[in-house]
Amino acid sequence: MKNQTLKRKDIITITLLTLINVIIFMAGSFFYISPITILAMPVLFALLEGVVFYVISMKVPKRGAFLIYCTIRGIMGFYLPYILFYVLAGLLAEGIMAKFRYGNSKGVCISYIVTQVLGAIGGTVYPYVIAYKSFFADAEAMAAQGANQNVLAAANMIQSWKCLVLLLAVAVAAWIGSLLAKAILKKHFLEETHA
Amino acid sequence: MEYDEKERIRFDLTFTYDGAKQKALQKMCGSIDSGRCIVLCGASGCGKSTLLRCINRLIPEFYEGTFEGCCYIDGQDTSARSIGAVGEDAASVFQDPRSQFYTTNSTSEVAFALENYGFSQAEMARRVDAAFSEFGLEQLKGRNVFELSSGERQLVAILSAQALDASILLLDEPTANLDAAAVWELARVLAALKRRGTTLLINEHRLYYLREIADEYWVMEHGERTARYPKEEMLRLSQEDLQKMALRVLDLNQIDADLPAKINPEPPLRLKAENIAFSYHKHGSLLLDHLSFEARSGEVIGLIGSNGSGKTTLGKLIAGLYRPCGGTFYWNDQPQSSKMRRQKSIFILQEAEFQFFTNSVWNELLYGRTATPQLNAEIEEKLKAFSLWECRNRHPFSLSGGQMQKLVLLLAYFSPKPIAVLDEPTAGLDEESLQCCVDLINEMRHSKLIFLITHDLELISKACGRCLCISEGQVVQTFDFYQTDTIQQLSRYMETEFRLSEPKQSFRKKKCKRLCDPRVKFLYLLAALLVSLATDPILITSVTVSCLILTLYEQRYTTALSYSLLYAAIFLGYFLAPQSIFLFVVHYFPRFFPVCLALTAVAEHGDTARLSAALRTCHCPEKAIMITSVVFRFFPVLCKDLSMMKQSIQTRNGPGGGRQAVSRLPQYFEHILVPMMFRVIRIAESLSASAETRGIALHRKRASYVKLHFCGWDLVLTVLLVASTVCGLVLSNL
Repeated sequence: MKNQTLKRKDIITITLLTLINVIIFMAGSFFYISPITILAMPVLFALLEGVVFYVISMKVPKRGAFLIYCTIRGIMGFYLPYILFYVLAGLLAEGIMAKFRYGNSKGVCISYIVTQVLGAIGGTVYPYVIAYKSFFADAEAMAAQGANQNVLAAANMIQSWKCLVLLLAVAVAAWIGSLLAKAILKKHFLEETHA
Repeated sequence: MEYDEKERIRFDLTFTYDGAKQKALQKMCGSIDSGRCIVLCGASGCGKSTLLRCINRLIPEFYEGTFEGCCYIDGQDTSARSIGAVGEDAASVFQDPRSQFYTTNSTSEVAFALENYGFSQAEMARRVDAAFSEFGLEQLKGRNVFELSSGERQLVAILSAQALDASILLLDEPTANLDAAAVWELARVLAALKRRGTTLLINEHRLYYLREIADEYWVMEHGERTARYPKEEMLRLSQEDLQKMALRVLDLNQIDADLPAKINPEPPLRLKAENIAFSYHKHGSLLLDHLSFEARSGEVIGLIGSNGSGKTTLGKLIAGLYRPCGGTFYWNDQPQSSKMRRQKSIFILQEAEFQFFTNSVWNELLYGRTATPQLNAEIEEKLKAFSLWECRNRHPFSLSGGQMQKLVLLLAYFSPKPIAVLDEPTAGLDEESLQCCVDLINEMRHSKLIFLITHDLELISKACGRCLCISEGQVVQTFDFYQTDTIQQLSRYMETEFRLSEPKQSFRKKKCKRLCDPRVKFLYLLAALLVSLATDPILITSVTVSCLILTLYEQRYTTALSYSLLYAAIFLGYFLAPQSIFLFVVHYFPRFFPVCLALTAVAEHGDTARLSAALRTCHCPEKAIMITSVVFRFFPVLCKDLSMMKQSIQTRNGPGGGRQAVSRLPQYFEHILVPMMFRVIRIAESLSASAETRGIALHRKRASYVKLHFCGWDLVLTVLLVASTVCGLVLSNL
């Protein structure tokens, strides 16, 4: 059995791979342009970030890999709830991988879904809800004067049970993202083609 | 084994990499005496790098495989020592200085190993100063590594080993990425090291600069030493003898122009550049200024110049990857836009790994083309000629550096575009591969106009009919080898005129900016993160103001101004149109302002030395410090890589606008993401190998090279933060 302890090379590999997802996250920040598209952000990230997550699981199938990934990924979100939820996701992912065995595809898929859903709670649901609460009083009064109905509709959605729909959408996107990741992994990392 | 006191290194090694069918080293025995300089030479893949890795202990601790035998350094068996412990006696310098640097400042980089080996701060300062001054390289001190040329970075890597006072220096193809001026500077430094008594073991393809330094040449083949020539004997070998052993020339005077006959394809296609100007910054100084030239199909034109003279920039302008800020390109007298030039040109980047999109060598050559029996046969022929046929089913990223170089050249060959710009196509190639490249380029010129950006005189002598020398933004001299000019004239020109870096690009000592203590900045970051949970605009504004004052104190006026304007614009928008989207924006975004400002301050433009020192004084674990350093060091690098990927896609796919671009988005995503991941994995490997040899894994008490002073202004800024937070809390509760 190979050594399960993370070497410095493993830590550097995880760190650098995580930075690719941070770049994807930052490249997607144009979604901040409107309150409606903000809600689409976690769905988009769940679709795109799976490849790196899977490559980490393949290159460094060791205890602690996902915790490091989630911690860096969270910190690079620069928002405290986001960081905390991502660290929590990392701990859960480590627990899942310990149960399924490191490198197990099913375990990686579940870990990825958990990570994305918790990231969505910390990064989108939480700030949206508290932002909404703070301007809710103004908003209600202004709604009568023709306030932006889209903003209110989006805020109402996230404030109610409907936010579960968003989280479900993130989970489904993460599952699709993990399928895409597996396909890319198979194509570029595992398979030898035949001319 | 009996120990001879003169012997610095003795080994008897056999090694097979995990998953490899053949042994990389077969019963490789030898010993090296103190103060000697041994040059390892031979074709790519003959086991030269593997031998160095066995000596510095990266094999078997870092690169896994079956290791047999033993290696002794100063009579001590290395198997009982860690990589870091061996590195104290035998320092290593690697091929690519871009990815082996751990910090972003040249002085911190030289001090990095000293920190790991537990030297005191005073001793570190003394050794770092001595390392720079001993070789007359003070101009490299305190520089941002992103500002340094490849040659300067390689010199910093050697100084890093020198500061450690290691008695043995192991160099793995140190000139693979260097220009002529840097090669001679490196030769000067190596000669000085030899005079000091340092034992040198150099793995190298370029041999000419080692004429005066080398004592013995070991020729390797298939993991074995097949010949051993003392210097005098080696210098007597004829060029045919060298070619038989896949070795490059030992003396630049041996090089003569060996060009194929001049051709004039019909109809002639002409490219004309008229008064081209270019700057990377909108209002910055011009890198290229009124540059003009003419070229026609059938020509192979060398673009040469010092590092930073704008050769690659000109190549990218020709290929339409950049837009000039002045002047016009003409193709057969028709003005050409960037888009039109992209359709006609392929640019082969120096970093081969950015240009692979598919999952096999075969598919890579067929990418974007329809397979026909004729094309298949042609690809097969070329792959066989390039010794890549056996690798046709392999993933391009699993190839060695030399094989990747050959593959990207084939991409240019099979491209239907009439202009090919090749950036350093022979960097790190052995004689045999160089000859293959020359043959291919000479074949390509029948259908293409070729520009070669190169420092390689051997390549120029066999392929380039003309060379344009670029300096100070213009073509300052032209060498026409079909006319009267000779390669020796060019060689002398390169030796006398080329400098380590172009004067326009050379470092101007910037006014030292005021910097707050990083520990105070951590407090700001912590406060900003906590405030991001708050909802009250007064509290958020008060902390934002204190962060802006911190930014102003550090003289980052543009940042402060842009954040202030944006902040004001959000609130202004809200007051002017309260029922619009600003209602949401004003409650959602301001909380992120103090975080961004504090983080920008903490990042210190990626200079991680002070940050690491601060974390060390806060008793942060060394692994966390390492992660922080890697994040700040490589985040800008990866962002830059992203733009290179974009260029690679542009040059290979051609334009694709509108609906076509949208439908290709998933494909683009794969084309960008996959090479990025492979590149990152390679960087991680070379960075950690370099850091391991410099003792990063040693458990020694570390001091930081950088001294932190908590001064009066730091206290004022801390008080300001506390006061503004308290004021914000009080006012928001009123």
